[in-house]
Amino acid sequence: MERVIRRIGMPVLAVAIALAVGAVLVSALGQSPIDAASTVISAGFSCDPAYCNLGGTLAFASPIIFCALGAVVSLRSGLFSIGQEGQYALGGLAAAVVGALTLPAGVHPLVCLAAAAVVGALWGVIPALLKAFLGVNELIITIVLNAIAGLLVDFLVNYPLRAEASTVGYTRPIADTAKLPLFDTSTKVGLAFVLAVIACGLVWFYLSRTTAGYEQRMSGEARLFARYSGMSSTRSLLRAGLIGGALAGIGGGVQVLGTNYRVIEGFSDGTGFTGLTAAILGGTTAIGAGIVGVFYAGVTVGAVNGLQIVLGVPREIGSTVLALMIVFVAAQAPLLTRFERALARRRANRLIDEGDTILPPDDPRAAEPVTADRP
Amino acid sequence: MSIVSSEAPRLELRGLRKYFPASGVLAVADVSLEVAVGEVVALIGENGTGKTTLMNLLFGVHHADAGEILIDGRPVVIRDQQDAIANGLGMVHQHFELVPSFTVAQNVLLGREPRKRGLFDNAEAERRVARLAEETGLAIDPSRRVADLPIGTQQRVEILKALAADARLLILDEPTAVLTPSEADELVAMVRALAATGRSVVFISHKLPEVQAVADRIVVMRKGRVVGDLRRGNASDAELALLMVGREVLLVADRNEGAAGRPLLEVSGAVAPPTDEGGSGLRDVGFTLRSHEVLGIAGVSGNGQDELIEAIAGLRPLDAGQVSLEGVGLTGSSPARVRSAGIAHIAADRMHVGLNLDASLEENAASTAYRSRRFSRWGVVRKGLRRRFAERLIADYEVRGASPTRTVGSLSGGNLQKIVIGRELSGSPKVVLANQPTRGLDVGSIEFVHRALSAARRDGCGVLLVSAELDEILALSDRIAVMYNGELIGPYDRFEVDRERLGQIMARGKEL
Repeated sequence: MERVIRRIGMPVLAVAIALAVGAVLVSALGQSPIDAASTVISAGFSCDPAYCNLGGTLAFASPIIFCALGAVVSLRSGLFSIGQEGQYALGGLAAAVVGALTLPAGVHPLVCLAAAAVVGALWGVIPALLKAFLGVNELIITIVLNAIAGLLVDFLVNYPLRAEASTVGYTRPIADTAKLPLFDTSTKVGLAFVLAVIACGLVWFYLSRTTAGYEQRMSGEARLFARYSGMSSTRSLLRAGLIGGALAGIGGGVQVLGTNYRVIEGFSDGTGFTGLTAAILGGTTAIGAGIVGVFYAGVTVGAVNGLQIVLGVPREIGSTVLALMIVFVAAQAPLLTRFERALARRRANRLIDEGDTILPPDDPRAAEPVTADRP
Repeated sequence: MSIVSSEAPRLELRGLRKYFPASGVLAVADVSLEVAVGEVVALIGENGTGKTTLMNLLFGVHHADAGEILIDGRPVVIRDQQDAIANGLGMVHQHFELVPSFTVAQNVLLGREPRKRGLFDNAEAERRVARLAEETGLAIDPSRRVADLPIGTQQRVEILKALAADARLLILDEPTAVLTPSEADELVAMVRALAATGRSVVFISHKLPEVQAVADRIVVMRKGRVVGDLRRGNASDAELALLMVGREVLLVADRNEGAAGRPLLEVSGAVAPPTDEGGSGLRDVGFTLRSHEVLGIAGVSGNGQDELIEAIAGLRPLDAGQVSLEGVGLTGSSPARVRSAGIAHIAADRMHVGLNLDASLEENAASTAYRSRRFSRWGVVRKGLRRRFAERLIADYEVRGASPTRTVGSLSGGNLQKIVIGRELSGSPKVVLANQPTRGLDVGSIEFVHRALSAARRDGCGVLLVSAELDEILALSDRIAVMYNGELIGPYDRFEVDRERLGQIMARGKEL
C-alpha cells in the first residue's frame, strides 16, 4: 500500500506543481492559464468526427510507450541505462531496411519488428555486458552509445542506404506489405498503438509474475540480497539489457512501419529520451509508463497544435512543463525521505515517552550465569 | 591523576541516549562518561556496540534523544561538526579526510589559511605548522605533498589538523586499524606526548594490547551501555575480552542428548583474503560439522568469522582450501549451487543482505527457492502457493505486524530475523550457517532464534553458529572453536572449556 501511494502519489503531485508553474508562465505571457489548459486538452485529447486529435496523440504515443517500457525494464533491474534513444534509432533503421525488402504481406511487418527488436537488443546489451563483466558505468556508456547510434543512422541514410539524390538523406520507402494497418489515415493511429498497449501488459506480467522478472527486480532493488539468495546479477543485467533494448528498438520499428515509412536524417529526435522520462514519471511501472506516455504525447501535440497555433503561445511552454514534472519527481525523493525521517523521529520519541518497552531490557539474570562454568 | 581532580572534567556525558527507530536499535543507552584534562581514555567494545554512535553524538552527526554534554563543566549543544570544533573537539576518522595533492601545511591549515595581500601565504603556513609540530612532538615536514607520505604520517597530518583547530579533546577512531605495528607503536608514544601537554584523548579500539599501552582508563561498551570503567593495570586482557562479549545468559537452550551423527560439512585448508571492512581473512582453517550438532564459533568479531561463513556460502572465493558437503565438493560454487546442495545461510546483516526491505514479505520469503517447484512453474511465479507459504511463515514464526503483500521495511529487527530464519529453515536444509543470528535482537526474539536453531539440530541439521556472544555459544553448542586473527582454534568439546578459558583464547589466540 505504501508502495502504491509512493508510485502514484508522487508523480501526481509533481504533475500538479509543474502545471501550476506552467500556469504562471502562461499568465506572464498575457494569456489566461484556463484558456491555455483547455486549448491543450482540446488540441491534444479531444475527438470529433471531422478530426480526431486524440488519434494523433495515440499515434505519437506508440513509440514513446515502447521506449518507456524499455526504460522500465532496465531501471527496475538496476541497469541505469539511458540508451533508449540509440536503441530506438537503430531499431527504426533495421525496420526500414527489412521493410524495403519483398516479403509476403502479413508476415512482413512481423519480420520488420523482429529485426528492430534484435538490433535494439544487441545495442542494449552492450552496456549490460560492460557493466556485468568490467564494472563500467552504464550511464556514461549509454550516453556515448546514443551519440554513436544517432550519427551512425545519419551516416547510413546519407550514404550507403540513401534512396535518391535530395537535400536530406533518407532511405527507400518501405513496401506497402510492411506497413502497420491504420484505423484512421488522417491521424495515422493504428495497430502500433494496440501493440504498445499489449506490450504494457506483457511487461507488467514479465516483471511481476515471472521468475525472471522477479530475479531482475530483486537484483535491481537489493543487489547483495539477490546474490545471497542465489540469484545471478550477471544474468539479470544481461536480460535487462536485451529486453530493454528490444523494446526500445521495436519503438523505432513502429515509428517507421506505422508513421514515417522510411528513415530520414535526424531520425534520432529525442523520442527515446521522452520515453525514459515518461518511465520515470510513471513510477517505473509498465502501466504507469503507458499512461504517462499517452499524457506526454497529448501535451506535446496540444502544445504544438493548440498553444502555438490557436493562442500564439510558444509551444516550448509544453515541453517546459513536461521537463518541470521530471524535476519535481526527482526532487520529491529526498524531500520524502526527510519527511519520513521526521515522522519516524516523532514516533520514536513518543515510544520513549510512553515507557521503555522498546528498549532491550536489563536482564536480571545477567548477574547469574546459568550455563557458564558447568560443573 | 591528582593534578587533574581539582579541575572540571574536559568532557562529561550525562545519561546520553540515542535510539534509531528505523532499525529499532537503541545504539546508546544512558551513557555517562568523564574524560579528565590530560587523560587518555580508551573506549573499547565490539562492532555495533555504540562507540561510533556516541562519537557521532559528540560531533553533531546524530542528535541525542536524551542526556547532556558538558565541556569543561559547561553544558553545550552540538548541532553540527562546526559546533563540535568550536567547542574544542577534534576527530580523526579511520578514513582520512585529506587533499592528497596539497602539502602538509596546506592540509593542516585548510579553511584557516594565513594570507598576505589577500593571497595564500605558503611560507607563513609552513612556519606555523612546523611550530605546531614541534610543540606537540609530532615531527613532520610541512612542505611535503600528502600523497607522497606513508599512511602513518598522513594520520599525523590529520591529528595536526585537529590540533590546529585548537582541539583540546582529540577522538581517534580505530586509529591503528590502518597502521603497521611499528607505526602503531609510534602513535601510542605520540598520544602519550599529547596527553602530557594537557590535551585529552579518547582512543577507540578493540585491540587490547595497544589499549593497555596507551590508556589511563579503559571504558568498555556493550549493547549501547558502559559495562566497565577500569584504570589501567586493573584488568587483564582476558577480563576485558569477557566484558566486551558480555556475561549475561539469556536461556538454557534445550541441548538435548543424542550424539552427533555423520559428517556433513567439511572445510579444509581454507585461505581467504580479508573483507573490505578490514577483517583478518582466513589462514588454513579446517573443521568438520556433523549432523545433529551445533558447532559454535566464538571470537571477537572481525577475526575471520565473516570470511569463513561467506566462503562456505559461495559469496567469497577461497585462495586455497576445500569445502564439501557429504563428500560432494562445493569449493568455488555459486551461492545458488551451495543452497541447492542443502546449505542454508542466516546472514549477519539482515537489513541489506538477508532481506530486501523494499520488497513484500512474500517476495522475501521465496527468494532462496524462487525457481523451485514450490514457487514457480514454467517460469511463472505460483502466486497462490507463495502467498500461502508467506501466511504460514507469519503464523508459525509469529511475525508481528506483517502481511504477505506489505513491504517488510517497517518491521522490527526481531520480526525481520524471524522472516529470514523461517525462510532459511523451510527447505529442510542439511546445514545451517548462522552468522550472528541474534545480534541486535530483544530478549524474546533471541529466545525464539535459539529455539529455532535447536529444533533444526534436533531434526538432524548441522548448525555452524558464529556469535560474538560467548553465552550464546556456550548455551547452544556441542563443540566450540575460537577464531583469532584468521585462524580456527579448536574445536573443543563443550565440556572441555569454560568461559574463562575461551576468554583467554579469544584475547590471545592461545591459552596461558
